[in-house]
Amino acid sequence: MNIISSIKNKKDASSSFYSNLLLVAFSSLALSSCSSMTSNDIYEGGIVIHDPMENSNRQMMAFNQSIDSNIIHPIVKGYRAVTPRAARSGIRNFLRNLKSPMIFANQLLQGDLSGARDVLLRATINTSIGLGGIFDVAGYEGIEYEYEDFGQTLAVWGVDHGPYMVLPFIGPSSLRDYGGYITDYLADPLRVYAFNTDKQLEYTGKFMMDHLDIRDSLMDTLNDLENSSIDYYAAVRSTYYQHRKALINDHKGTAQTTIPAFPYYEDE
Amino acid sequence: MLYYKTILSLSVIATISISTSSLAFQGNNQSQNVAKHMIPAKNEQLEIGAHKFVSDLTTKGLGILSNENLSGEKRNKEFKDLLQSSFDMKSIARFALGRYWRTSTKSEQNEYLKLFENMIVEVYSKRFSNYKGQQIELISTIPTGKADIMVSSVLIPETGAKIDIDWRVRKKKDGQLKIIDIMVEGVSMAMTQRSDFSSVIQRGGGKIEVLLAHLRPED
Repeated sequence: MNIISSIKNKKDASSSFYSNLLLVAFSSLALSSCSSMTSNDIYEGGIVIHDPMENSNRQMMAFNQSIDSNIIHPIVKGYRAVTPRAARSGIRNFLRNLKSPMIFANQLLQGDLSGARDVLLRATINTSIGLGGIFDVAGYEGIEYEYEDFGQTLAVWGVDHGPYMVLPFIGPSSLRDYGGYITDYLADPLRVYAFNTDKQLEYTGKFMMDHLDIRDSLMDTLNDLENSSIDYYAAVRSTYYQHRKALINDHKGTAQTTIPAFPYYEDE
Repeated sequence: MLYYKTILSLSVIATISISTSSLAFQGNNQSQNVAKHMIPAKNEQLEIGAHKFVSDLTTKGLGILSNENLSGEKRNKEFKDLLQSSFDMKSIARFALGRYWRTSTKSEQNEYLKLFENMIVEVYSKRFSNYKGQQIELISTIPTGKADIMVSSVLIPETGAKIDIDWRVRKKKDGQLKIIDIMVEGVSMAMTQRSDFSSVIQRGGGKIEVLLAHLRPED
């Protein structure tokens, strides 16, 4: 609330906005680094899972699952029914293109210059030739979309996950990644622009579409994981950590250091 | 307005400076490529072999899935046979059980191996049946251990984003190549299974019997 009112009062908007932003960024940084590791931590394949809130996390997951099956999945199915696959792919490209400023900033913060260059190239090509981002022309030309967020940036800076968190509606996250999520939301140049030009409604619409698109892309994978696992909570948690690790390494997941060791059982 | 002009000019400067610096990066990549060719001949042969193995496997697998001449039941059986012959079931099973392998008795281990194989064939054939009509393109091979090669590929759907699939291939002592793990978008199936199983066992008081009870087919 503080942020919105301060933005309306434009005179001191930028200073108080960025101090709020810094507060979120640094509190998530500080909190995750000071959460010490305990003996209950799970070590798997070079990943440390710190889950001190497992019981409440499991409850939150059960809550999310009931929301999913009663509200979210019917919405996703409705979305799929009224929107042909090609149109959904166009919407996804469009939404991804709108993320360019946020991804560009994170690439720079991570010191990934070639990644930042690719974002600029993609945004330029797709916005013009790709008709406002609906067609991923750059992707066809071999400049692939690469997702970055502030949680990944914090990881590159050496911040650990901190405790694993299952958040209402959003789902699996960690203290670091949730701090990153809020920071990305607040710092998104598109949002700052929209909120300064009375386009809150449009931005909120974009925000909702983002989440609908995520749920559309994840629904089948999660159904599959639920059917193939015994303890769905543990399977999702492991998948979350592994996937984040792959994103942080920019999908260079095949390097020897980033894959779990697989013993030579024959040698025993 | 000034704000956006500043951003625009900054981004133009950034593009120019980045494209010049990326030229330097490309130079680095080339020297890395040269270094990659200097890997011992033995590994190179294994890489070629692993590449061919995965290429044959995916061609065969996708062929079975899209073969309209087969009845549903027969297609399933052929696909499962293919999985059984190309996956190193015992290693995957042992990896998935993690440290609980050592603490379980011989008979528990044997029952587990049997149940695990049934389960994984079921899970994988369901998972891959979604890949019907899609294309898998192999990209690269990287040695990841003394007898391990990671074969990277992308699954190209009809529309939408490509999916990274990495196949971890191991050369067994008898010289046969087998899949020991598949990583989809960086998520290892074996690792996810290990996490799942160890949580089940831990919450069941550390007994492998709890896991076996879950794996036994329901009558």
